[in-house]
Amino acid sequence: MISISMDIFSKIAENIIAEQESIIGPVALEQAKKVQGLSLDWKLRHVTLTGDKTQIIDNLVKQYESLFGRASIDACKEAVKNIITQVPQDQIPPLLR
Amino acid sequence: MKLPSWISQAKTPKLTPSDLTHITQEMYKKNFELAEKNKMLSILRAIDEVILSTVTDIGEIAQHVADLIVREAEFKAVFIFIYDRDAGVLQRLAKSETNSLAVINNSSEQKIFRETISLEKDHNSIEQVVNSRKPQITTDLTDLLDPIIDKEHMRIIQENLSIKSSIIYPLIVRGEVLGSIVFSLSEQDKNFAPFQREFIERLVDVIGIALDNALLYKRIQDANEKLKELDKMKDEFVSLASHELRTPMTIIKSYLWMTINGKGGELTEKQRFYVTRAYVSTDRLITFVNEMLNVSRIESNRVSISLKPIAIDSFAAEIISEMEPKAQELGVTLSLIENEQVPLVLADADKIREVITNLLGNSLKFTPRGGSVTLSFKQSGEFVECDVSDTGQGMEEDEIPKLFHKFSMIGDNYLTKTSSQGTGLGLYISKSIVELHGGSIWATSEGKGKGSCFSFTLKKARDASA
Repeated sequence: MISISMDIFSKIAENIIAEQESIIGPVALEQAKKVQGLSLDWKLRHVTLTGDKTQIIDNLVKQYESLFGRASIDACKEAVKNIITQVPQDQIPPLLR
Repeated sequence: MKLPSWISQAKTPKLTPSDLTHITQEMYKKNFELAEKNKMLSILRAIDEVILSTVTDIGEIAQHVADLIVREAEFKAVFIFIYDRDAGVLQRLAKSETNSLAVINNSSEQKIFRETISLEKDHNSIEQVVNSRKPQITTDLTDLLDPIIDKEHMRIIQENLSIKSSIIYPLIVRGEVLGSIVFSLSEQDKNFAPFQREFIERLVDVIGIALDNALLYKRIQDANEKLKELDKMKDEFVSLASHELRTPMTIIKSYLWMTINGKGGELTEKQRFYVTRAYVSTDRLITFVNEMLNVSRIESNRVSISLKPIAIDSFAAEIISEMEPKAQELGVTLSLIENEQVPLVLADADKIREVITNLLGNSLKFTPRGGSVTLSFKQSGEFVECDVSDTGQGMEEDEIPKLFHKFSMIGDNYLTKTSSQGTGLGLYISKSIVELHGGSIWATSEGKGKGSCFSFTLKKARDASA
C-alpha cells in the first residue's frame, strides 16, 4: 500500500468545505463540524481527519448531499478535481469517483 | 392586526418534507450557479487589472492573461496567437505555463505546440477558425496541431494532459481579425452550463480588447519614434544647409558691396539700381539663413546663455541710439521713457540685444510716417517688464495667438506678404530667448489701426550682498 501524505486528505476536505462555503455560506462549516472524525479551525484553515480518511471525506460529501442533493456532490467533485489525482484509485472516496 | 378576509380564506399550501427538500436543493443549485458566476467575474476583473496595469508589451499581457485563466478558471491550457498580416501567418503570442503542459518532456513533443501557423492551407482547426471567423470545438488535439507525430502517440499525449476538449475562437476587434485563442479543458463542452459558455465568450471579447489596446499602443510608440527620428534629421539638414548656404551668400554680398562702392569701376544709374536690389535681397537671405540657424540651435538645445546683472535701461538706450538713424529715415519717433528707477536684471546681453532689436525693428516696420515707438520699463514683482509700444497698424485679437510661432505672419498668407515683412522667425527666436532667461513675452493691441505693445520680462538680479 502506498503511503499517502496525511495532508492530501486534509487538503481535499478543506477544498470541499471552502467550495461549499462559497455556495451556502457559514452553513457549510456547521455541516462539516457534524462529520465524525473531522475537526476544523477555519480561521487558520486547519482541517484534521482522525480515523479512516477516505470514509471521513465520503461522510462529509454525504452530509452536504443529504441537505442539498446531487448538485452538492458535483460541487464537491469540482472542488477537488485538480488534487484527487494524487490519491490512488482505491482510496478515492466513492462519492467523488 | 386582522388579516384581510381573502388571505384568511385562501388555502395555505401544505409543504411536505419532500417539498422542502426539493426547494432546498433548487436553492442550492441557484446558489452554486451564483458562486460560479462570481468566480468568473473575479477572473474577468483580474484580466481588467492586467489590461489597466503599466505593462504595455503585447507578449507580456498575453502571457499574464493565459496564465491567469489557467490558474483561476482551472482550464488545462490556453494558447494565444496573433495574426501577422505581412507574413500571412499566425504567431504564437502566449502558451500558458501550466503543470499540464509541463508533463510533456520530450522536446519533439514540445515542438508540436508550434510558434507559427500558416494560413494558406486551411486544414488545421486554428487556421479554419481565423479564415472563417467562426469558433470551433474539438475533442481531438490532432485537429489543432500538424500531424507530425502519429495519432496514437497524440492520443497518449492528450491523455497525459487530461485534455478532453479544446475550444478555438477568432479574436476579432472592429471587424478585423487580430488572431485566435485556444482554451483546452478537462471536460467536454456538452457538459458546460450556459453561464460557462457565456463566460468563455466574454473572455474572448476582453482578451481581444486587451490585445488591440496593446497593439495600438505599440503603433503609437513606433510612430512617435519615427517622428523623433524625422525631426532630428530635419534639424540636422537645416543646420547643414544653412551653414552651406551662408558662406557663398556672404561672398556674393561682399562682391555686390564692392561693385556698388565702385571697386570694379563706376556704374551707370541703372546698373547701380540693379546691383543695389541684388545686394538688399542677398542681405535678407543671409538674415534668413542666420535666423534658421538660430532656430535650429534653439530646437536642438544648443543655445547657451550667460547670465550677468545688467542695467537694462542703459543697455536699451544704447540700442535706441543705434537705431535712431533708421527711425529718422522712416519718419518715426523712437524714444526711451525713463520714469522710475529700473533695477538690475539677470541677462545675457548679446541675446537680449537681439530681442530688443527685433521688437523695436518690428514696431518701426509697422508704424507709418509720423508715428512713434516708445520703450519703457516697470517693475513687476520679481521681474522687470520691458514694453515696446507703437502707434502703428495694430492687430485684431484673433491675430495675436499666431504671433511667436515659426513663420508667423500677420496678414492673409505667406505668399502675399509685403516687402516690409521679415522672415517670420524673429518673434519665435525672441520668445525662445526670453524663456531661456526664465521670463515671458506677449503682445497686446486695441485693434487694427490702434497700435501694438510687445512686452517681455526678465528676472531682477538679486543683491549680491543680500
